[in-house]
Amino acid sequence: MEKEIVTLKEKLNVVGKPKRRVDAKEKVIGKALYVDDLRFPGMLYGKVKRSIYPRARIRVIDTSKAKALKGVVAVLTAKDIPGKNMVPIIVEDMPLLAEREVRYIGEALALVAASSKRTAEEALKLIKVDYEPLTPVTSPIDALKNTSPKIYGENNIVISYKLRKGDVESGFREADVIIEREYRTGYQEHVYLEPQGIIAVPGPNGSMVIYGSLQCPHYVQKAVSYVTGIGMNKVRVVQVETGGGFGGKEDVPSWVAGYTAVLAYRTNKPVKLIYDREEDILSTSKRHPAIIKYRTGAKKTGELTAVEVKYILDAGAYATLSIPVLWRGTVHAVGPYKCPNIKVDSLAVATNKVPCGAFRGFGTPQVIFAHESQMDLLAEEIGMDPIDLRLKNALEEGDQTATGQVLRESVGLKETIRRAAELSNWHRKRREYSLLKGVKRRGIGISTVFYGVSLGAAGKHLDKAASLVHVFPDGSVVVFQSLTEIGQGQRTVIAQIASESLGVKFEDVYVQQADTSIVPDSGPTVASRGTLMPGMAVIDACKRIKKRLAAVAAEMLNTTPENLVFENGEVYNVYKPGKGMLFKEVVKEAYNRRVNLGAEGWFEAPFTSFNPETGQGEPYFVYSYATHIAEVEVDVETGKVDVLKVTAVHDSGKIINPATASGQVEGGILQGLGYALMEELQEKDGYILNPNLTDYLIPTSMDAPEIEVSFVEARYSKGPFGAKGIGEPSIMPTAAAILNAVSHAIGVRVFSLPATPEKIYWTIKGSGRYT
Amino acid sequence: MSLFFQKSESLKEQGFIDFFIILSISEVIDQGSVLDLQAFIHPFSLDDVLEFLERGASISNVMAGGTDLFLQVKQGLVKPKYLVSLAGLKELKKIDLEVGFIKIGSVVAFQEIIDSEDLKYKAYILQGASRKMGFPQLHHVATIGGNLGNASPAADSAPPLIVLRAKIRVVSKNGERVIPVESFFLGIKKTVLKANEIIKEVVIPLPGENFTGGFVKLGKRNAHVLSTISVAVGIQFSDGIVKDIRIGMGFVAPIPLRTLKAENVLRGKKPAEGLVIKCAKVAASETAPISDQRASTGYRWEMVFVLTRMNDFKDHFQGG
Repeated sequence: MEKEIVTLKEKLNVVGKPKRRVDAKEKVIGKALYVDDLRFPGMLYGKVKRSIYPRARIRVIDTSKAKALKGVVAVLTAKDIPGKNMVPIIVEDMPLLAEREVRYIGEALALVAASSKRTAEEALKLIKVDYEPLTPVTSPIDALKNTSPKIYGENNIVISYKLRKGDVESGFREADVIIEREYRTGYQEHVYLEPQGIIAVPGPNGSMVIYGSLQCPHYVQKAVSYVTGIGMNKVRVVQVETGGGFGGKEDVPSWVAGYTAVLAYRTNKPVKLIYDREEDILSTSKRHPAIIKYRTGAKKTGELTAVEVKYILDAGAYATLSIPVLWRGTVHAVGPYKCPNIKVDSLAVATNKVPCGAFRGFGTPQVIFAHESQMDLLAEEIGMDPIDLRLKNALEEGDQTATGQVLRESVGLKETIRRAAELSNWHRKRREYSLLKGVKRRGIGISTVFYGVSLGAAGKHLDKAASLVHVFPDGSVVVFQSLTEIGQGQRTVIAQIASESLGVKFEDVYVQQADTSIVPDSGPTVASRGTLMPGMAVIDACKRIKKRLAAVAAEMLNTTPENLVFENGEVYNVYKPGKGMLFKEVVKEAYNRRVNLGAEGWFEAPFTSFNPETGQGEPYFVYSYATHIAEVEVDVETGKVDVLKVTAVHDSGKIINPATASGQVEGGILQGLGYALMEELQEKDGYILNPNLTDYLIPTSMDAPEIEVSFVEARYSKGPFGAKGIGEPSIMPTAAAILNAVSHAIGVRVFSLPATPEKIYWTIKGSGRYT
Repeated sequence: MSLFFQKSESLKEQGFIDFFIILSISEVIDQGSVLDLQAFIHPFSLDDVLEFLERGASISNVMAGGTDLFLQVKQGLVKPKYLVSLAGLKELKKIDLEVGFIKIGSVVAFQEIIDSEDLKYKAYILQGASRKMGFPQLHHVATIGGNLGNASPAADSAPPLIVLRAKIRVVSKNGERVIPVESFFLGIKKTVLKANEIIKEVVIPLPGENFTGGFVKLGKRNAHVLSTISVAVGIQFSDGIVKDIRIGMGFVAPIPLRTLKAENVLRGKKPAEGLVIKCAKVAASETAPISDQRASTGYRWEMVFVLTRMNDFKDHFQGG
């Protein structure tokens, strides 16, 4: 019966509409409160003493002078941690505070709480650390050598995966053309507007409340419980307004909250710990640098016959999230193409550098740069248009992916390619730009991707979501869910889903920020799962309430529940439109009849599987698809690139809110543009040379190209109203599309990211093409 | 940053009773950002500024727009006890067209330079450079005096002022002196300014007929970026001959540089292509760019050559 109530109404009133962000106004006028805006009586300021060596033994940490400074309330080292000295992420290898050895510059050694930030800063200088420096390992290639010091396990390999399909050797024998190249990509720093920040407030009965800028409240809850020894039932994590995350607030807030909670525990005072930008850049996670060796075999007619990939990630000093990042990269290494013979070997290698972690795309932008460059090289080699080559190999319904997964539904890939080509005037521009002469050359390039939505088989145990929905006697609705608004519009989209599901006005729904004490663990806000997973859980709760209300309304309207339509704050008999009641009238009656107007919702991710021996299985339950086409102008005398336009066509299933979805795509393109052309974190011997925004450059609005966004809505039957995910696909194709466009413009190819003006200049000069 | 007005007792005792004193609120100090700052001095007359500097120069920093200085204070690179703002000096906040020259007061913001009708015709190279400096918000705060006084080798106003033959008038309680722009800088963050002196104005002689030129800035992105290098060229033509030429460059040496030898290659000649290339080569030989996070020495040398030459392509000229 529930199902029928939902399906009676095909027309959508709120879903699919560009509703204004529910948090927009407060953020724009400056009224929204971020963690640094919060204050508590007696609050202390925390600071972290950090390693200045990439690798060293710790002989002694002398805190006596720091403790003696007026205003200092606590100076803590590893031995003062009340619980376990361990940040629980995937494996337990990273201590909260280093005790015997430091493994990267910026690793935490000691904590200070003081009455002012200034005093805390001064106290840091008074902590004397006696180090015995050791030879650091700073490149993954060095780390893999037999002679390398062993800094992680027996062989410095954090994790490795393999994927085997068919027989690559015979695949290469069948090939008419083989393209073999090596690609390198650099770090990418998240540069969220708001740096990391946490406030820990000790409460009654040994409890602790954590307020913070974070993506994954349940991760933080677990970490705080670990390091303080407080039971999870007494640790409450409240996410406050968060100024961006992009993956950078996936695991890192667990460390930050760990430091803060330990200080709050030991001082029994609220403690605020806010990173400054330099500290944030030096000590928090980034996109992994990568080395990708790629070999592609194909027929003269374009069909791929074999793909062989070796994918190496520079993990940094601890595993953190390298394990799932590398797994996702491995599964996506071939791209959205059919190929019968595949061999992928991947490694995440430890180095004495800051641990790399989650960043929008999660291990895929690196391999995408490689596979999309390969596709263009292949197209050139066999004299085929890059669009035609991709269409020839692109996955469609019924095809098998690299892991042998048969795609049963919601595959809009080919339509994204066709539409992007059409919207960008690909064929005309490709021809015209090729004829340009002079200093300013133009090029147009394409990149196409697929993305497994949500956590997949590797994160299966976390892939669930809960919700709690209450309807009040005035007809208004509150929704609790446990994924976070981090600037992407999540609360707005959830409000739309709840509003549509209950048939109430959008304005009557209020979505609360995440709070671990209210809603069960719903997994992290990552993997483009913030719409699909909680959306389904919210629909589940709404259905339960609606069923109860429908029973009441049916009596009131003298009909049966099946005939009822809940729409826009009204309830009516589908055969007698215009003679219904207001939703709140039904609610009031139900309330008086003591009907339960609150419900929990639950959703478990659909089936996934993965065989670690072969890499075969169904790693993700559904995929999003995207194609970007970039147009650039390159000054061949200076190497400077201007990106003129990016055409982005995305299949993320049903688009719940076209405005916020476009916003995601636009932001992703800008971030991808930075990754492609300018974002360069420079590291030498384990030291980061530019931990500041003067020399780590991200694109400004003056660098923004014209962006045209279009959606192919190939609905997914198990997603909310057919939705999949968009957060990460929005950045994934951009850099590869820009680099392919640059190659088209200058006639030579750059094989590493970022393609700075200087790198492009020397590439051009080295080619001898423009003398 | 929140600020409030208050008369400072200690300064009153020292006789500075007519100044408005702005103290930073205790919380700002608490947050550790403005460690040693005791007072923010905001005078309304030039005499007051000069008087204050005469007596308290060693513990003070002069501030115009503050866009560079505040970062340095925040990073602890500069630790002034007193910040003396020039923002209240109306007489230094205007652009005057006089006979034979234009005067730009030291606290004129770059947006005023960009918007000035007078400069549009007489000093468009400076306007073009101003547009390319920083980012739109910055144009409303940063000043020409501050840009010069900060003495960055990448100061975007310096190369165009060099080619415009601008002079800097500095003033102290003891009087004024006038210094050509190219002689004003001594090194990174170092100028000929004495502690008791401030920049009063920039004086640009009006270029004659047939003056043309351009400014090119190279950076890794289109705004809010320190120049990798910048080049300005100004040429006074007479019957198709280069009667005079000036070339100014940013970030190719510890100071904004005038490349005299390169100028001599073209001076008195017709700017044929071969000569322009020679000029660019000589310009490169006169520079000593560094290798840093923004670019290598080798790339900068190549770019001196490219940009100097580029300046002479006619489509790069005019309009900046």
